[in-house]
Amino acid sequence: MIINRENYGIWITDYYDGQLDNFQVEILMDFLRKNPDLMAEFEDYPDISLKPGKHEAYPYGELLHSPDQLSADQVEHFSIALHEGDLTKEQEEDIESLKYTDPRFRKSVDQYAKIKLRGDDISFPDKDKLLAIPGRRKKIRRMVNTISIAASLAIIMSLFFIINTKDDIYSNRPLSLNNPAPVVEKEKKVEELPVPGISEIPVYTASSEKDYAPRAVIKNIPETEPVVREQERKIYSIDPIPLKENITLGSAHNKYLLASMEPYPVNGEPIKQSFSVRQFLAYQFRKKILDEENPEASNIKAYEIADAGIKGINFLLGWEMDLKAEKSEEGKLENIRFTSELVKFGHSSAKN
Amino acid sequence: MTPQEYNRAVEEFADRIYRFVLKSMGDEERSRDIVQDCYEKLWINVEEIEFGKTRAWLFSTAHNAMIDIFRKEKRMVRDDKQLEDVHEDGYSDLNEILHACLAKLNESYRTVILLRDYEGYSYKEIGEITGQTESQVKINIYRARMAMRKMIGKPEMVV
Repeated sequence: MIINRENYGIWITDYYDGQLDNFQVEILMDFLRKNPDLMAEFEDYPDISLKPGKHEAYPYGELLHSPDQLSADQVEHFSIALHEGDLTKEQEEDIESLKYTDPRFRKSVDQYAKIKLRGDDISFPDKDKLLAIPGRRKKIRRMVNTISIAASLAIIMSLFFIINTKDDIYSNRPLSLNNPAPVVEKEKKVEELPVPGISEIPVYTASSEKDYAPRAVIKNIPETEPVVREQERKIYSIDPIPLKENITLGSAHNKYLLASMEPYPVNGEPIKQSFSVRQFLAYQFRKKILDEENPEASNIKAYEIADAGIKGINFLLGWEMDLKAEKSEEGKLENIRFTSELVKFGHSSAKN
Repeated sequence: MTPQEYNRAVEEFADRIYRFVLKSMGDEERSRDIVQDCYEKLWINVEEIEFGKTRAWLFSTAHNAMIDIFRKEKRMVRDDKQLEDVHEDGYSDLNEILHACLAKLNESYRTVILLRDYEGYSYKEIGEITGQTESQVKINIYRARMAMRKMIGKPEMVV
């Protein structure tokens, strides 16, 4: 911009505002030297610029307007801002003091204080379904542990009764369905048996009507009086006959009919299943408590203990809980299903 | 996040997420579905999400799920008829009136009010959840409050 008598004022203003560079300052000074009547105006410029006057304290320093100038919407805005915590501390104090002097503020601030939602007691109903699998496992494990403890108690009690009773398959109870006779009586009568080769009948068991006649042990058969043919010597067995009536040793002439299903060698001792203590307990546990028909003597599984516990609890309390174990063709445990009136769940043994 | 922390997230936040969704949608069955979907997604991404950010992540996921539903149903269009007075409906308790007003707000207003009042989130946090800027959130909250006050109608009912 070329300096002239019409725009020199802008140049002077820019000079005092520090907006001119050295070259422009030289142009301005050269112009003023050529126009000395304007030099006085240049020199007096600093005196005519505005300076801040004495500060008078504004009663509502943080508000830009006096309360009277505020519109209804602005009053609402400040009221909301107060409750939202958007005001500075000074502004908050101003609004609070205005509540006592300005009825608009009082009403608006009070209204917005109440327009705030209070929490409802709402809970998500299916929270258990959201829990991670480890959490569920933990619950199931805790439940199984509890059942196992109950089962252990039941087992201890059951074993106590098993050990202290003579009413098992190895006892020598006389063969009588309703009123068994003493063992001694039976042994005496055995001696009177007229049949050669039968020296004793060591075991007779009939704990219920379903039982079959026990085995008769045959030994020391004389060569001259063969009872069986040569081909039949190795295995001697007769099909069992269900007992229809009381059989006493007086009718022991029917002893051949009382032979066991189990094979026995003609000569020598009868085959005995030899159990270790652990196998014996497992065998008895499955037979007596779990009511298995053909119990194994293998180690007791955890779910079998739980099953026994459940059966014990059912027996004691009259409940109808049920625990079923599903096995694969290889005999491996695949799934456990627990059913009761209140709870029903299944648990796969496969690792997730 | 570990599975234990995930379970903690279920215990601590499931009720809040459900309340947020239920109050926004007003439909129990769909709200349950949305909460379950949120936690399913959380479980899928459990290793990538820090526990400290879980709460905001869940709210954000729930909000997005709701937005999808609203868009499908075209419920985002604000209906000015909703802003009619509710005091004639016979509510007696102030909280009932407020919830009735809330139900009549449009979705964007309702969401920010719920997050602000129930969860105590800041403008910035609400912005992160809803995808709005901080100033947009602030404006929406102010407008929502004013709308609610207008809906209540007679000031005597509130004061």
